[in-house]
Amino acid sequence: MQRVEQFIPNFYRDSVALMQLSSQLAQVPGVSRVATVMATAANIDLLAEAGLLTIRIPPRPNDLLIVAEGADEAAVDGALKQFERLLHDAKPAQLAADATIAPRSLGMALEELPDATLALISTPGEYAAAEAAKALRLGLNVMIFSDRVALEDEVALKRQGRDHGRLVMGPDCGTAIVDGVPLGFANVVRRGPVGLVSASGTGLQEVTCLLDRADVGISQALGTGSRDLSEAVGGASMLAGLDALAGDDSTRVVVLISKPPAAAIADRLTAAAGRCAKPVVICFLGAAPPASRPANVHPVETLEDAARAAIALERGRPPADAPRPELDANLIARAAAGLTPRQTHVRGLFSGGTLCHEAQLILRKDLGPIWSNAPVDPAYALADAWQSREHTVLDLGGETFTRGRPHPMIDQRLRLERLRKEARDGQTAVILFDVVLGHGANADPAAELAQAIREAIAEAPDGAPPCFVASVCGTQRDPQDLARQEAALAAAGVLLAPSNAAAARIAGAIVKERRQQGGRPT
Amino acid sequence: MVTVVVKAEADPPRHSSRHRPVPLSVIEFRSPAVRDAWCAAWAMVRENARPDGLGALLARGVDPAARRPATDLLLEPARRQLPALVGSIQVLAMQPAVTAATALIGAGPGLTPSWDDLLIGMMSGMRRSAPDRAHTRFLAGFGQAVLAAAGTTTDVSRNYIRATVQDDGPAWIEAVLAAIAAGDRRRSIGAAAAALRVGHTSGSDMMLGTIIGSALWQYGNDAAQVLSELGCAAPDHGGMTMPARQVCG
Repeated sequence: MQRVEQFIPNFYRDSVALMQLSSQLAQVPGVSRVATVMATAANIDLLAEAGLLTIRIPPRPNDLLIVAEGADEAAVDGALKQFERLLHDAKPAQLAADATIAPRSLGMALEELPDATLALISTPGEYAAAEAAKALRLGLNVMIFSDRVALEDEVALKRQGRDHGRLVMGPDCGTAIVDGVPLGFANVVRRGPVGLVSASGTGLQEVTCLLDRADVGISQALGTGSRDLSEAVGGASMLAGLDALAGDDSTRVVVLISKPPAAAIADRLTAAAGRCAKPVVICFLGAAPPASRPANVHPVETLEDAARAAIALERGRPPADAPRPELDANLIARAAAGLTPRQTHVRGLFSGGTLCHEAQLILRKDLGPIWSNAPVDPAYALADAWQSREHTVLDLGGETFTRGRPHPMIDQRLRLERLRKEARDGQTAVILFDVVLGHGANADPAAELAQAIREAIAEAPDGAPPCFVASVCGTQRDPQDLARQEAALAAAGVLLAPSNAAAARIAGAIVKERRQQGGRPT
Repeated sequence: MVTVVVKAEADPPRHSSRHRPVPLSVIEFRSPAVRDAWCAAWAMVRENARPDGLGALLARGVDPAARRPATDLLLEPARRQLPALVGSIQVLAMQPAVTAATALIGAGPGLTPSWDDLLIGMMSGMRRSAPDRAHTRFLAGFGQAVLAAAGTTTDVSRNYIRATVQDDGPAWIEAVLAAIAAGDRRRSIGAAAAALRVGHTSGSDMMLGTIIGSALWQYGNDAAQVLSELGCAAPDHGGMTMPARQVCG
């Protein structure tokens, strides 16, 4: 019996081709066994154990090793030579004609979609900047859903975007609607004349939904990412978005949304808005109104005000012509009358960070200090976010509550538990919450909430459950269906407000009314 | 405007706040739906594993002509090492686990040798089923040791191992694991079928590893049953007994 082995350096054919060749050779007269393996140490050991190697050979892991065993030397030599010839002739296996391969790079994706103008990047943060830079080099606008991107990378990307004339939305940009396409967490809203740029995801959702409910559509809703209006980033994306909307023929009114920016950045944005030839509504939640403002710039306090101002401006009227609707005093009085004298505190359970922020701003005007895990006033940061004190309004999407769990817009279990806990606390007068619908959100949030509320009412101490006050951020065409969600909540006894700001005002008014009723018999 | 979406399978701890994707859920056989989805994937492997890779271990009357000499050489060593590997991983015994895993690194047919594919699948399955920190820490140490030993295998295989240890398993394997974790039997079957078609023997060998890796830390005797069907002795549990349970139908 003769054995012979041969390396073919740095060579590989796919296994199917190798197997076919091996079996062809095994049928050559005089050849009994043929093995083709990568020449790793382990494979060489196995071949040696099986007695297929004549000599001890060093491993060469990236080379193909052919071993043939046959009746005589001529047979095995001939087999090896034939093998080598066949191997070089063999074509790599072809993909089936109908096989489709998902693109594995931006370049591949662009080959399939040459008209694409935007890349949505959702990778672990450490890789997002590199992908975004590639997308910009390929001439694409970029939305970076990922967070945990280094600040210096964000600054560099936004500079690169400006140099290339491309938008960079994000990092940490969860919501945008571009040319009618919802990206990330976004609602199904009609197209129309209002263009928005927002550093806040739920803020953008709330305003676009309120516009939609008033039959006013949006042209573009651009996100900037949460750090854009910091000193370091300088509002680069909001300035670029403002420029884009200023030059966009389908946009007649512009809305800018953010939590309070750095003061210098707010001034820069107000000045830039003043240079825009269109009316610009600025909603920097909690920021002091600018000392002076250009005539086309309209600062507002709440997201609801922003929507109302944009609607008025779009209809050619000044925002002052659209005052806030009055609260229904009878409804407030009835709600307060059902509470015991001990029930004097608001407990807010929010899934949207900006909605939580807005509610705190409104409630603290009515009720004084508001404790929170994401407080408007840092002096009222809860030491233990799992335990409410006095008036407490929580951002359940905050780090404390989302570590190891899905976001409450997706998974409400934590919120439902907390809701029942707050309802058992005999001091809770109002449980205030938001319900955010749209792409990416829980498929039927109201059903779960309604069930938890019914249970909470059934187990309320002294038979006096708190009031439940909420607003639903969504539209009729959202996958969850606004009307169905609102109906389920109303059936469970929830007081529904038309906006987050209105819900917060109702909550504050109920508690104030309760205090005024004081010891009066109810 | 047309949108190009490039969405990588993200590692959830690197995301935070509202933009955190739903965390990868842990595979937990106490959920009947999850175990059912795993059984469905295992049935796909049992029926479709490539006989010229480690699928030859399955006692289902494989025609020896369908095997390759390179496969035959691996079968007996694999039957020896697998129970040692699984048994020591189950009791978190690092040294014997590493010894068993690395004994056959680079062994078997293919550019990514079969045993390497098996380890890649196993580590991916273990990551998705580690029940607590101790198991996660074990897996991290085990992965590093496997990677350190991967200098002797092919470059391509080493890179697969590195990606699995440092980040995620191959996308087609992660898809199967996600379907099992979700308790989605139909998706599990579809994803397993797709994974089994990858490469010539690689997808099949990785799937075999995935099935074992996702079962070996579970309550019950599913991993032992898989080994038994592969013609391996029962793993040595170092005195620990695993409660018996009815085998997948």
